Amino acid sequence: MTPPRWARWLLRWLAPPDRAEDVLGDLEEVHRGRVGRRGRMLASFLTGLEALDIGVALLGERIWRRGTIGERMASVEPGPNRPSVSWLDFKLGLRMLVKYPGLTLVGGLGMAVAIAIAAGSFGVIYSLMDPTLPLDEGARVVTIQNWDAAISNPNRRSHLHGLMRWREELESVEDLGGFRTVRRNLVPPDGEVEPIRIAEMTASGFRLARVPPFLGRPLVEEDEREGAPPVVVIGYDVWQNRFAGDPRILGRTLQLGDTRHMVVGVMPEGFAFPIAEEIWVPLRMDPADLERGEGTTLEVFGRLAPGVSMDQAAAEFTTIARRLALEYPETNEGVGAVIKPYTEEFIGEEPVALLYTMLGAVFAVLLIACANVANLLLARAAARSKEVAVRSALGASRWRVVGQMLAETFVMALVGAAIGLGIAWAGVSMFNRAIVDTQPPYWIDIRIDPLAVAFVLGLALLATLMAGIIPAVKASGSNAGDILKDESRGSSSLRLGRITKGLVVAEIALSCGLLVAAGLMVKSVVQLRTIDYQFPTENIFTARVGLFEAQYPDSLARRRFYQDLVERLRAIPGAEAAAVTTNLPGTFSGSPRFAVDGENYERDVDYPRAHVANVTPEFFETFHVDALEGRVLTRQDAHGNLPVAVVNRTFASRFFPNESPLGRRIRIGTADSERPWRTIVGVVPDLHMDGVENEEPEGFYLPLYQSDTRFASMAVRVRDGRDAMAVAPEVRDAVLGVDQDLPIYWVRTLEETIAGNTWFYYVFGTLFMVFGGVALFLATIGLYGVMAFAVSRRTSELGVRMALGAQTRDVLRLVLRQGLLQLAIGLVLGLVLAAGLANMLQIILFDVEPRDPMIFLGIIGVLTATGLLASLIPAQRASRIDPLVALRYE
Amino acid sequence: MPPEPLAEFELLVMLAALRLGSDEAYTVSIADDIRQRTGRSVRRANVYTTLQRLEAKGLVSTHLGDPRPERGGRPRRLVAVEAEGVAAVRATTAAIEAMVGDLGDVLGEAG
Repeated sequence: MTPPRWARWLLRWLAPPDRAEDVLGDLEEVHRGRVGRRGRMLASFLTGLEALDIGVALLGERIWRRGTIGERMASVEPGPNRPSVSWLDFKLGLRMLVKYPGLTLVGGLGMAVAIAIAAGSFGVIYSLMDPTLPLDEGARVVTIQNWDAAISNPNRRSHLHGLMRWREELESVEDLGGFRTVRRNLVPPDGEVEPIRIAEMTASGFRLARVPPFLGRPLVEEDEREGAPPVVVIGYDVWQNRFAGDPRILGRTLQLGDTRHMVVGVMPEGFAFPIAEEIWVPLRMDPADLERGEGTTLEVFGRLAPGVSMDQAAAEFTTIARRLALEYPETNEGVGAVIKPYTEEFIGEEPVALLYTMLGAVFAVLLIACANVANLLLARAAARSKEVAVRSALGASRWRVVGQMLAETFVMALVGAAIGLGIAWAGVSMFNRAIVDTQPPYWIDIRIDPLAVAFVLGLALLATLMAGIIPAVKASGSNAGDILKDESRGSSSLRLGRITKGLVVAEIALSCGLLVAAGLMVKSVVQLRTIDYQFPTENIFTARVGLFEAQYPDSLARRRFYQDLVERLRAIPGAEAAAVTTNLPGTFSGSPRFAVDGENYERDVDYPRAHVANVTPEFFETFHVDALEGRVLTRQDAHGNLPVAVVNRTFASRFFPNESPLGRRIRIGTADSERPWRTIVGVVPDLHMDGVENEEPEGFYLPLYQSDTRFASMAVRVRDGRDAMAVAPEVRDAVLGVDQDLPIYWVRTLEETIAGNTWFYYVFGTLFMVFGGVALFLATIGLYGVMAFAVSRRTSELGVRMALGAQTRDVLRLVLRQGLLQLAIGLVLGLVLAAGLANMLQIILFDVEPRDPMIFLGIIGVLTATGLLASLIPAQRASRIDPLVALRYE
Repeated sequence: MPPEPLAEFELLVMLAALRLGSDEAYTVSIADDIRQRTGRSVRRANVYTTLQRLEAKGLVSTHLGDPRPERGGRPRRLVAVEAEGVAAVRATTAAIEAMVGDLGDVLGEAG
């Protein structure tokens, strides 16, 4: 009938030591009475509560009476079984850092680097993994996509018709709206014309956001009507930077392209919904003007109605999608709808998998660092075993000793954490600068926030425990008498062998895994750099234009524009060749379904797919492309002449194996296509139409003048040795010469364009390289430290052996054997780990097998070499021991 | 120097300790006494901290009694009221009585 054990423990811990006995007595007496009256269960519960109440009150009283907690910690003598620390321990910890500078440097720095990596990655991962929209009830904002069941692929965007229908029928989602981003030239009254990104958004977007404008009003439904005056809402930064924060901004105009928009509102700082917007204009589209399934596509957003769950909304969507499929089988057959949290739309599953891999790698590095510090501390604990023994002999309890050693470790971890946070902060700043160009959504806010700092402090504590507890318990557990009696080998009485060896094995295994991952990533990057593109990537300037339907209403007007443009581009001084193409080589081109004349296809899904690009005849000259068979496209392939196409090598061999494709005909579209049949007139090499990875290279080229093109890239090849970007002003002038209002965008070299699609290989390659490098460094010093320590402990033993006739070689072998055994076990475990890690990395490896034997062998070699080196130096030192000195060695 | 007046709960604890006497006054019995006489619930935690404060002021002294089986072999901490304690109780109750004075009718009506 005693009170619950935890209640007793709590009171013993919290009560002043001289009061613990009678307080516990009271508790037991009261508890017995309670059990009689209320039964055991309820009594235990009540007694527990009361113990908590009393404990807290007593502790409060103590603090109140003694002053600060610090004074209390310093003044209260610990009870016999209580781990306790005082400021003295922390001071001692600091002093120890100074006294053992080598250990401080290696351990502290190792921990700093590990914590930096952990904190930085945590910052990145946390922001990317579960971003919240910084809006009122942001988690209830959703995005809606069509889902094409036939290709089991979310068709990212939705058409206007779908949106209108959803708006009419949906009850589970409110404020349904859509947006698209376009580029327009911003024409300031004075100064340079500048292309700028604009969001065309339904007014419901502002209602959904629930963010009141800073000045004026948001967009409203009336602005979307036909004939409504053109208005614009601008972001805070635009207001500050372009209008110098003019308080009378409302009513002023902003010229976008050829239209002057009246500013009706300014949004507050930090608002950039839906993605990263600064200028909003009404989305004006009349569905009556458009064929179903045609027209510009939209991104659709909405807010779950109050009390509606995601599942309920999804169910309603499915119902509507089924109805639409029945009504419009030709466009909506097999099209479903997917609804998901808004922020999920922008971060796919692959990056998340990658982030988890990264998180794993981060913790592996942290573990290695902790193992290292633990090892170093073990060594130091061994060296200090006499000191500990003296303390114990003088009456220090075991917990007192453990507490003190943990405090020392904590000081080191804290110093490491402080340095680590600094490094992490710098790293995150760099990361943010690196991703600015990719225009991340505005709610992705990667920074070291208070949560990350708390996380780091938690890590420091955890690291302290992980690294400090074994040495502390080990060191304090020894029998003081034995150690003090052990005159001759004061520092070697501690039996640490198995633990330190285990830690080193773990370190080697973890580094092996990380290094293999790093190796695979590095090889991917190398592969990327050494791709043989079969077309020049240097000396090529690229930029993009998009024609407005208002100015270029038909394909004739558009063709004229491009003809004029190409002539002007070719006339640029310094330009060797210039062309216009819908898709640049080395970048992804769309891949529609098509038919080969003479083949039979039962269903639409049976039609094959291939990449397609519309190019002007100069394309082939610009990219040094010669026909492998037949001819390339020429100026004769103009509108009105025989429709032709040029296919690439893979296309020819896949669709026309064992025969020449020349003279055969293909047609874009499926059974009911109204496009013309095109005669194949030539075969050209593969120009990476599937992007850098080029996993499905088959594709064909159509004459731009026999097609209808609204968006196209310009490519200008300059003479060798000239800076491609130097022609940018001339290209801009050439475009403005044809159309005063047309913006050009994505102004960069072809190399940059291609690199822009591969940045994540570099980012993650670099990250894993850093992880791997740090891991290798840490594991090496860990192994070295342990070996050196083992040798120093065995100095007198080795001396005796040599005095008895052992040769240098024997000593070397003896010491090396220990190191190599650990190395071997570590490598075996590490390879298993590496194989698992490589599988997870597979999705981001470029042209590298996850079991790449070269990488695996290479890493084994590197680890063996460093392991040998780390063991060899102490072994050599051991073999040079003078037996006389060794025997005197204490 | 006149004794420092007692806070209300301090006064209740002192009165209970005086009534129980130095052989029987300890935290549990004091809490029970107050509970029975005033009918209000008493947190023992309060009794502990109050006794500690009273002891710090020198109004009561405590000592450990004999080990007792119903307490798991642990002793009680018995409370003895010191002369200064008695003086403080007297001063506090006198102040209360002086203030109540002829308000009996009013308080009676109100009650």
